[in-house]
Amino acid sequence: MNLHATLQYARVLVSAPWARTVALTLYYLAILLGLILLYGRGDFSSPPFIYQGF
Amino acid sequence: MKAPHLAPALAAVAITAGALGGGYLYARSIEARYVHALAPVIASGEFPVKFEGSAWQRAAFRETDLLPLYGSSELELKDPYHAANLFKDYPTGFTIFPMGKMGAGCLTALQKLTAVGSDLQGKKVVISITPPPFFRGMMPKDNYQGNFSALYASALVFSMDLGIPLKQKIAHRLLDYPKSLEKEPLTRLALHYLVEDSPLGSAIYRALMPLGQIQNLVFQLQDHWNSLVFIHSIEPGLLHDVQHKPATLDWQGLAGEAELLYRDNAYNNPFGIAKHVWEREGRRLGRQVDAYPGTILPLVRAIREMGQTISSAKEWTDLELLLQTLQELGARPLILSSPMKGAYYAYWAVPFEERRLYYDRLEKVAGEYNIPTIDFADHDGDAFFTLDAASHISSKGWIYYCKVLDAFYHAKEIDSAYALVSELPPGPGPAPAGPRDKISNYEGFHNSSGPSMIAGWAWDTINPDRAVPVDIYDGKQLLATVAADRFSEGLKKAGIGNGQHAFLYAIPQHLKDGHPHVIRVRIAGTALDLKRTPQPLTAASTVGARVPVAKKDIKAHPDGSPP
Repeated sequence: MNLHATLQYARVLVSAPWARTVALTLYYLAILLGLILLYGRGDFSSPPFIYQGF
Repeated sequence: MKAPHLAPALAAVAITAGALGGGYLYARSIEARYVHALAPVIASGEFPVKFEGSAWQRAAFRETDLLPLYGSSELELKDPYHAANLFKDYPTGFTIFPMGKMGAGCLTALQKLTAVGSDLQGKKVVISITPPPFFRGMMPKDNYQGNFSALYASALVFSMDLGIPLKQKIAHRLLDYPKSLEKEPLTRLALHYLVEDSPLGSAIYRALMPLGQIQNLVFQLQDHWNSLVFIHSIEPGLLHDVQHKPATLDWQGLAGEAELLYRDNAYNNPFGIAKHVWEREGRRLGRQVDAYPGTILPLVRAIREMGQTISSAKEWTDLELLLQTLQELGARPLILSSPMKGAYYAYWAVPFEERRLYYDRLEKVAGEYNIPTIDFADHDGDAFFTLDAASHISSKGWIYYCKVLDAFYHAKEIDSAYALVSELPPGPGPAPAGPRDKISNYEGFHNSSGPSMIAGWAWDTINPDRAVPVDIYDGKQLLATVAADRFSEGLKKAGIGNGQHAFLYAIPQHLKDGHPHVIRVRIAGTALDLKRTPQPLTAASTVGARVPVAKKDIKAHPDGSPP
């Protein structure tokens, strides 16, 4: 299957309501996943310090 | 018009929420699986997520065979009799979950415990404290910030388990350390409105609560994520199966054994301070002792001013807030305090009447909240219970702590806190006042052995004009005791007192037998070896030859280079 045929097939798919919904869902999932990967790891570490012992 | 994006967006949110929920449950199962293996870790650097988040603490509180122990640097110092070692194999059915990091005070502990929240309800927990912070004006800012966690602060400010009046009191203290809140805008804002005693302030704080709850939820998820990353990052070998080896602990035997071990490590000073600590502190004190009361060490100043500062130290406020927090969270706490290094304080002219201000006030404060407390005041004069002036506990001290932890874990009701430790001998009581000229801090170096002389230097940094005698041994046989009183220009230039601290000893004929010998030099009458001793000696016979003995400068160098 060449590129032209593939694009044609994709256009037909996206024009179908169910396929559009799936694509949009995946799109939003990708956004949420990106946000989680960006901000998922919290940094609760304390600043390094020299212990001022007694 | 249709909203074609709404359904997919909602579906994506639902799928993400489901995945996060699944991840949360998975993380909890992983934490439950590994919490026993990781419980004995005492070094904050080896297990950072434990000391920065709440997930592992919650996991520990959910386990019935773990006893969480909160404290400070005393929990982080290694010791063969540390409770994390003694209870490692669950000899009596439990082990501890230590949460101590250098510089942590009561204000940090109460935040950590608030982050645990409702998991604390009805659970036993032990709080370990040491006396020094209770007579310092305020915890050094670096110490507090070095233990700060955004998760703990947010959990406290937006806690649903604590009442507003208590949170307001704690908020005032948190705002004493504004730098720690610089990167936490929501927490900082909520704190400001929490302490603002007005209807508007109260309304804004309540309006911020939902946002705060979301922040807490996000922080918790991030904390679990960090836990998973940590578990997957450490070597699989660390996560061994936990061994359960039931055993009967002979507490009196262990106490005697631990004391003997510790005594061997604390022989170079009269206070029972650990050798390695005294080598550092003794030198500092030696340099400062004659300057007192001019430019003095912070340590000495703090001790001397104890009588005045004990009444104003913020740590008392923080202790009360911690006790109130424990009460509101429904925990069943026990307070353990190490005693002061009584002899050392007495040396700096702090009488027991002043030292007991700490013990008395601690018992009074804890008594007001009906919380069992052991302060080991009877060990004030026990030189081997603590290992330094900061009251970090020694091997012997750990056995007493372990006995208490064991009895507390197994007790159904606590009638008398001291009954928990009744199996062990009580302490000797208060340390008597001690004259200053009795203490010494020796330093010395064994420069060379052979071919005809044994040479080196030794002095007492606290009494620099005194000639220190040294014992010279061939193996275990004492050869001679000689005074380190010879002048050395090199020593004087190096600042070793007046330079009259070198010794020289002519090797006797009977050692010049061509056989190998081991020459050891010690401060006379002690087990304190000079540096770079022992040294081998193989000397050939020189019968008939003259052995020149230097009378003036033997040019011994304090840095250890040969004369």
